Amino acid sequence: MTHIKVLLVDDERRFVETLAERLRLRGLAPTVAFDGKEALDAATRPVDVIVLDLRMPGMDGFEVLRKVKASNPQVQVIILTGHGGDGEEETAYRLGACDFLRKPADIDELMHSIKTACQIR
Amino acid sequence: MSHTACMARLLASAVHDMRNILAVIRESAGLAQDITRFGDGSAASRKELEISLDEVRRQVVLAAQLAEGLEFMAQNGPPRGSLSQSGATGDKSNSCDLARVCRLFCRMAARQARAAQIRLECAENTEPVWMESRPMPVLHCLLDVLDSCVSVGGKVDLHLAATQQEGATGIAVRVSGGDNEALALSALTACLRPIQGMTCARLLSTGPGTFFLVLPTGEEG
Repeated sequence: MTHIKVLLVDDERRFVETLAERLRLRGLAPTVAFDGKEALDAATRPVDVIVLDLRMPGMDGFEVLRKVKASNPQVQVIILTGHGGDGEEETAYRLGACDFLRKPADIDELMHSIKTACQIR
Repeated sequence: MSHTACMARLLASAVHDMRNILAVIRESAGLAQDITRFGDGSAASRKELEISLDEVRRQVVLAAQLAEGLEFMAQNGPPRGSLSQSGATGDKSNSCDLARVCRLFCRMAARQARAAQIRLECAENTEPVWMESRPMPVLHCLLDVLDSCVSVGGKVDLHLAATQQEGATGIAVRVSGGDNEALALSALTACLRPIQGMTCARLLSTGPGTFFLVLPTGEEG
């Protein structure tokens, strides 16, 4: 568990910083990015799982997902979004996301999803 | 865009924001719980606990503001008569406080504005600015103004203020700053005409970067 590198991507700063602290307390190694461009930069460094928002200023989550999967198919991507229509969920799975969670998600649910993503990887 | 489509977009934006607020509340409260469970009781730990609880309080205030916007939409958005059939009551009079409508618009459309990197602000009127108009056409006009800024790529600062100018009641619209300021000004200048088929809504240029939105009155829109 201590070696799981998780990249959290969300433009809601307070949310992503707090979530990162909670994952750190649970033994994970989280890093954060606040928009799509930062996320792609961060994804060039070693990362096991990306927890990705969909609606962000500039590049949206789908675009990030597409680019990350094109450059590194091994990385597992979990969508965590406040914009959870069925169409978005279907598109996310089609683009290669391994799970789709809606805000506000329970920390145990997210931890379970991250562990499952690591097993797939 | 119909009033119904306008309402749907504002509601979707507000619901998205509400989910984000709930997510921050959940994580901040969760972190406070984690600190009591894993924390070492140090001053730093107590400080972090205090910050988390402050954040919960702040987000609850934001949620209450959004709830006010949602309630306002429920009372004023649907077509006339549809609420009375379900027994709900709302203010169906033909006047509204433009200052309040501007404030609620800024809250409801915050998510859409942020997505386009538009800094949407509203004047803090201390007094109501009453006008003979129903709120929905006003919200519709404001969404049209926001859309004009989004259509040029966003990235502007957009300021709204309910006011009176030369005897007319309306909304002063100011575009200032941002990467696309010039483009947004061009787009709004192109709107110096009746907006989206509304018979009485017009955007007038009042100076560099400023406009005055003359709104539909009474039963218009």
